[in-house]
Amino acid sequence: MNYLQKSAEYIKKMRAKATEVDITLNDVDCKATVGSTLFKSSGNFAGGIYERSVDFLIAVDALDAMPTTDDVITWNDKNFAIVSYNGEPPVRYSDPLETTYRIHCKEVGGE
Amino acid sequence: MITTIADSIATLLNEGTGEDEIVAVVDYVPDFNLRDLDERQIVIVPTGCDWDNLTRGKVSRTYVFEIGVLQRLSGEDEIEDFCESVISIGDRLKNSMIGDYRCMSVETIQLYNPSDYKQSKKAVGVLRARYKGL
Repeated sequence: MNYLQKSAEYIKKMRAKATEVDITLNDVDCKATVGSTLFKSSGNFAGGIYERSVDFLIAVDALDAMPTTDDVITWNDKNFAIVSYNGEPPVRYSDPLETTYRIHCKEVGGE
Repeated sequence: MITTIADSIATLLNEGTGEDEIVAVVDYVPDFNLRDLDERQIVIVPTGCDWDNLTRGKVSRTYVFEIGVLQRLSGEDEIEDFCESVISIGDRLKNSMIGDYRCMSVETIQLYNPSDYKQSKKAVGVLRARYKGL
């Protein structure tokens, strides 16, 4: 493990220690950090529309596979659908060493 | 001149027909947050100018505007009403005269986008109107 990999692992551990909350991914208990991303969409319009996603950051080694848009996350009794904003990937790695998934979601109602 | 015509387009659209009353504004840098679209937004954006030779030495200008209609809908059943309102704006603009400029064409760039609706229930209709100097 080189220096950068060690640093990434350290940051992942610190993030987990300081910010993780309990969620369920398809009814399986899991831990995640909640964040957000601001997307700008314009499409065929001269102007822009800003939308903020709810993001869940989950350690790659905590999951068997990369989540997909068929999965549902539940947090604080609210359901979140995994969605693609502006055609961008709904799930991506949040770091170059691919230790953490960043999952873009929108709230779709209560449990 | 292009800004004067843009203002006049807003005035023209705001002369509502009662039940279909709308509020259109000129916006040179239109940016919205999603929550802004809970109310229907109609914005006029000047986007271009074309030049045509009328005769040797005489040039006619055509000013181009985009009219954006943006709204967050509460259900799929509102899409039809939204599309009709976009089309009715086109009806009002076509052939309208603003000073010496006539609206020669109105085209739909986008009536609405199903992907936009699927993503966040927003509907964005875009018309392009061309006003030619006579």
